[in-house]
Amino acid sequence: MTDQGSADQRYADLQREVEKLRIRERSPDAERRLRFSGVFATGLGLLLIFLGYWGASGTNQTYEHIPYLISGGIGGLALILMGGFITVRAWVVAMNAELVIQSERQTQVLERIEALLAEQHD
Amino acid sequence: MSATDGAEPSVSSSNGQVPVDALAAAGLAEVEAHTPILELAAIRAAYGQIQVLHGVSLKVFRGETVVLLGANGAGKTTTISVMSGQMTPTAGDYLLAGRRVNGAAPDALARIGVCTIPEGRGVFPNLTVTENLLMASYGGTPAARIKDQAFELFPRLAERRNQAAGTMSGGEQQMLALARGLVTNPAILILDEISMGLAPIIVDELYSYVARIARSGVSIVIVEQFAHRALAIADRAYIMAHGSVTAEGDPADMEAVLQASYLGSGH
Repeated sequence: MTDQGSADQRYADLQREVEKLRIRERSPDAERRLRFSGVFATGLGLLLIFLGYWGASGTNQTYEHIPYLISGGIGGLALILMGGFITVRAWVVAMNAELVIQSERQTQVLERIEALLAEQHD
Repeated sequence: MSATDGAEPSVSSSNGQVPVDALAAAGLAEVEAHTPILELAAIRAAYGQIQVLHGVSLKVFRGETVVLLGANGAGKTTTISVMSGQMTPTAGDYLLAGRRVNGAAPDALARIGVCTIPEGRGVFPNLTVTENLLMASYGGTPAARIKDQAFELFPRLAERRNQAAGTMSGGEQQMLALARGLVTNPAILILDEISMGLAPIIVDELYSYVARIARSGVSIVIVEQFAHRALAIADRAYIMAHGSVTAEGDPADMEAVLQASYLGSGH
């Protein structure tokens, strides 16, 4: 017979504690959004470099090249580097998740074998 | 049974009318009494692109022992991963005492009273029994109380208090895992395949301890391959297949369902 008084007390304790819990919900789509933003940043960087080149090619005055170099060249390069880093990071995370799944499956199989051997041994 | 069941609210005002607040409080108590301590509502979960749970719904009420049964790959362990906070569901609600806790960290859930004993026991093999138990003192429980409680419930652990956990038998390691979980005084105890790799006689002994824990008012969720043993101590059972709950009900009925299906009873 379950001690209902104790069960109620445990429920009340849990209810009190769970109210204090601060939860920052992790979005399951966060990684996908990050990967998308990496690809987007790389694409934007390439576009900026092209626009910089396009603008600079329209004039032969060196002083007019400088804004194009800064906005298009350096800005574009920075975006490509950032986007590339995010994309590689997302790829490593995905690979790691795949390895964890494989490892869990192998562990489960080994444990099933262990259980079967134990049953046979008994 | 709620304290308010079958009774009118006893608070009344001087004019003989029951105050609205008293009625509201009585109603709230009634609702609370029927609020599950743990509830999964239409939970979906995935490993990357692989969808594993397809809308799992289950309830555990206070002081209840619920068994989750199913074949390999049915999604039982993933369901437990969601309950323990190791996995965030992609959809659905995970509720504890009525509050949504999707995304709560595993350590936070453990601290508030959701204790998970994973498949494979998770004891520290190079630490002694006492040292393993003292790992549970992170929540602030005094070391002396931890040892008293654990050794009282599991006298065999007291005999082996200075032995390295890795040198003990599988059954003793499982007892250690159970004891380490219990000394945190949990509200909910989640047990994943506690009989894995153990001799039937040891499994029986372990289940006698689990039944004792259940009687003390702890709500228990058991995932088990030895269906017969788990059903013997359960209040309710769920059967899972292909990431969904396919049957729910009284343990006796579920045993009949199992015997009629491919699962077998695990005798």
